[in-house]
Amino acid sequence: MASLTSVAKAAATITKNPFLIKIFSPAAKIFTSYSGYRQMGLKLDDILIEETPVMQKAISRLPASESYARNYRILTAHQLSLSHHVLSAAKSVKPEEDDAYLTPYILQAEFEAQEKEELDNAVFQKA
Amino acid sequence: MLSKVSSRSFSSSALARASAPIKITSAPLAVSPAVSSLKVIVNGAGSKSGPAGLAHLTSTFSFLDTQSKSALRLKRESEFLGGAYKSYVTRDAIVLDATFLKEDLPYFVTALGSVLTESTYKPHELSEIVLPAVKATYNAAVSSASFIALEELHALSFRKGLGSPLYFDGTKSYSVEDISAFAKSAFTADAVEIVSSNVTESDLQSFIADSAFSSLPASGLASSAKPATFVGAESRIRSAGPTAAAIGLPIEDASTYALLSAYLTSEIESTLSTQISTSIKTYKDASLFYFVAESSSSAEVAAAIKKAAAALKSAKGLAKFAKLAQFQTGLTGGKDTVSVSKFNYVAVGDIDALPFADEL
Repeated sequence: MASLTSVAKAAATITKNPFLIKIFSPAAKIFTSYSGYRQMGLKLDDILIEETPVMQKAISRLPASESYARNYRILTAHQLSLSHHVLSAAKSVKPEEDDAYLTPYILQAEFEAQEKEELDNAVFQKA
Repeated sequence: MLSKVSSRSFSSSALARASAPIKITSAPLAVSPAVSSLKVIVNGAGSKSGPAGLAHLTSTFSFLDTQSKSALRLKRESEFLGGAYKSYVTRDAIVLDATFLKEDLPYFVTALGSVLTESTYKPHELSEIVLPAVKATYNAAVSSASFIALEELHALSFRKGLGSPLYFDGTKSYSVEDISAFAKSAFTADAVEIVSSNVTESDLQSFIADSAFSSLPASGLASSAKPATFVGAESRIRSAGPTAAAIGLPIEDASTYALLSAYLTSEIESTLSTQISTSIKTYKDASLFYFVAESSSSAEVAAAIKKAAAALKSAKGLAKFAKLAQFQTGLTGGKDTVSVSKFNYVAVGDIDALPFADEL
């Protein structure tokens, strides 16, 4: 799995370049609408794979209210899946509600894991 | 974001800064000529200041993530350099203590400076690192009945300030914002004092001028008034484990009480089963004389504390303990006789067997 850090880097490159924005922005909108997670009442950060140590750490650091809202959305999605329904356009998650609430925590946890990996394998060179 | 705010407020006090140089003193060589040590004492940041327990949390937050370096990187780098650091809280101050090879002085000056000025106080560090650490420190401390007795003695003698608990006991809950606000108000140039050992003074001066120490804000540290003191109080704490009893009182004449504690040391000796400890706790604005007996047998504690109370009432011929007092406390002089009629008394543990204050 590509780390979220590399995704964030790619996103930064794209948002800096007006030409790339013109290509990727509509493409992202089409991708999001076809993936349909908003109709299941979810945000993008809810559907990132969470069975990794980094994600577990990130989720454990969420504020209590964010954590509650996340679990509630996931329960909603399960209920919809079970009853073979999707939310109506009025009730589905709006693009402006689809914020990256978990991303800063993941980036921090990924940075920590990477730094630890580097330091664990550091080679001491006498200058 | 938080860091930007704090760095802005530091730079705004540039004018005031010039008039408040950091106090540097040097201590005698402790280990070997190759090893140096620096002790950064932040006066007024100890557990007598601020709400109970906040100073202990703040001290445990030292050497964690800063804007420039993560806690792990600092730890690993200083291990590579063969250095070690620790932070602890006293009633008067927070102390940052670093020991390292002589040539690594600039690295550790920078590290200590950034602890004071650019710690980031992240919420997850509080729950993942700081709270478990303070809990362990507290639990280790309160497993000793004499520690509980001494804490209670402080509480009886000073009530507030010096009477506040030394460690965070979990009674209150603080957020990282509370901790960072406390640190910001306490870590000022007037409050910081550096004690160096085996360090070239001029080098240290120039490294400090180049480091984050020079960006510490100068703030009018409120000169502490003499705290109110109280005697004649009694406290009995029923608890499992060993039993302890303590007698103590806030004092002015430290030299005489140094003689008295030397006298009590030789009069009532520790045995295999009973630990006696008696001394003076000297703080910036007050002193406390104490006598503590601890044992797994409450009868032995009762016997020792009765003996001590009787000795306190009319202690004579103290002058011949001058050498011992000087060895124990470094104090000289003092009166030959002392009579203590009112004192604070604490009983901890199996208190049924221990006397009441008026029976002593």
